[in-house]
Amino acid sequence: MMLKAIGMVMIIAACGVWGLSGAKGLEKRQEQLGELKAALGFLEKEICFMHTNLSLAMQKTAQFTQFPARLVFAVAARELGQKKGVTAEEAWLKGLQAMRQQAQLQPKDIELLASLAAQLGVSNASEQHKALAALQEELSLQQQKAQRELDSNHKLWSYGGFIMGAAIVLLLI
Amino acid sequence: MPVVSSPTQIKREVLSYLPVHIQRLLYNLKVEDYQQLEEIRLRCGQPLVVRIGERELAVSREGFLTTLLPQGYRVEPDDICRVIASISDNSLYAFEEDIRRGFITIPGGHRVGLAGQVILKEQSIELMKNFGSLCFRVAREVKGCADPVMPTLFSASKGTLHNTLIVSPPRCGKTTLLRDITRRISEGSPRPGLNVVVVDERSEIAGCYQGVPQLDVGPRTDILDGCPKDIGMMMAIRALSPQVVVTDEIGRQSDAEAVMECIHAGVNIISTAHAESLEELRQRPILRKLMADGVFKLIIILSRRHGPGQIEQVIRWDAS
Repeated sequence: MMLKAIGMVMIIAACGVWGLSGAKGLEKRQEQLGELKAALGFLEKEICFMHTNLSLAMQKTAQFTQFPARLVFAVAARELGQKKGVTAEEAWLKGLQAMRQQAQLQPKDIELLASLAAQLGVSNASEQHKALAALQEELSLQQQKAQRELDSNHKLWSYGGFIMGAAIVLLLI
Repeated sequence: MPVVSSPTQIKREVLSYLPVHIQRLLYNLKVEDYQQLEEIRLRCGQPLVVRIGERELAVSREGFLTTLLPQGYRVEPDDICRVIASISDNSLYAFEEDIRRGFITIPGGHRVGLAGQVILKEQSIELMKNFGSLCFRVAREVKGCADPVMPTLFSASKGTLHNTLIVSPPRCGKTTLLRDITRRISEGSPRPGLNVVVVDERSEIAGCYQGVPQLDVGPRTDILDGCPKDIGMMMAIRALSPQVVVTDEIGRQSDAEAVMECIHAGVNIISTAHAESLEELRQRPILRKLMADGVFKLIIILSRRHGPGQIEQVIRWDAS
């Protein structure tokens, strides 16, 4: 009887934790999109107004950005700084790959960020401004969607896990 | 004359900007080939070509030099993209002005000429994109090449510097000689050192990279890099109080006016001009007028008869 009770508690706790982590993921995605948007704004200023070389601009952006968004800029800066013939496109995609494993972003968010790769550093300041501003705008829309998703699904995930755990326990009894 | 660019220097300063597989092809060059290497040309879809002294050769897929262009390694669009990324440090936006002028100077003072799609805005170049070919021009610093002409640059009686014009067709070493004369005047050999301003419109004399001269132009030399000659000469007189202004390839009316301003301000001029001979020089109205006005007291004519920098003639109008 004691073992059964422990089992029931464990199922409910496990499902509850899963639900809570899902809710946390929604919160984090929204935050991380905002962080990336702000970082791209910083990068844009470094490129368009300061005309800072891309590797240094990436490095500076990384310093002012929170984890895990920082990873994309730090890895790209490292790749470019080695001066081994790596293009900005390759460096940016490597940075994204590094961040992807640590972030709560969805594949469509990563795809959006990857669209910048081909344009990064290969045109004049005005074209760079357009590309970076467009991406920030799109990230802003994604962030708004993520916020709406968070508002509507946060409670569902938070309580849903426990409810599902309880349902499983009832089915097993 | 000691040619300063060694194979190791060229590998480090020039070849390192090329994709690794192209670097490997060029590593097979002999030491003497490196010493005479003047250009590396990459044209999209065309053979990789190098100019070594008077010879123009293709570099084969195996890394051998050949006169048969079809046997050369064919340059891919990706090669051009990688070189552009490399020379601009993946930051073309930081080189807008250089791209408008058609070249990027890399550390060491070497220049990479660019060709591609030019976008115009109100009759001036807005930007260049879709690059199709690149030309690396190796900067040559030949210290001591001015030795034979140095004694003639100064008046024997007063010890003052003559206004000097160096004349030759392209690729005969005008700029190399001009650079060495600048260095010697600035260093103070054989006469006391003078304050020199180099108006380096095409970044060829001092080979500045991010404002720092990559080639030796002496300790008393200020450089106005990328500055149009006429504007630069006026700026120099107003702000830098030079004793000598050095500039390359004068020929426009505005250049001549600025030269006259320098002369009136008591500043000496050393410059260069494109021409085969004195006769050809006199056919150019602006230069003919400068000569008729007695601006230049010394003309040095160069050729490539026995290699670049061959001094053909030194003409003096001032016997003192």
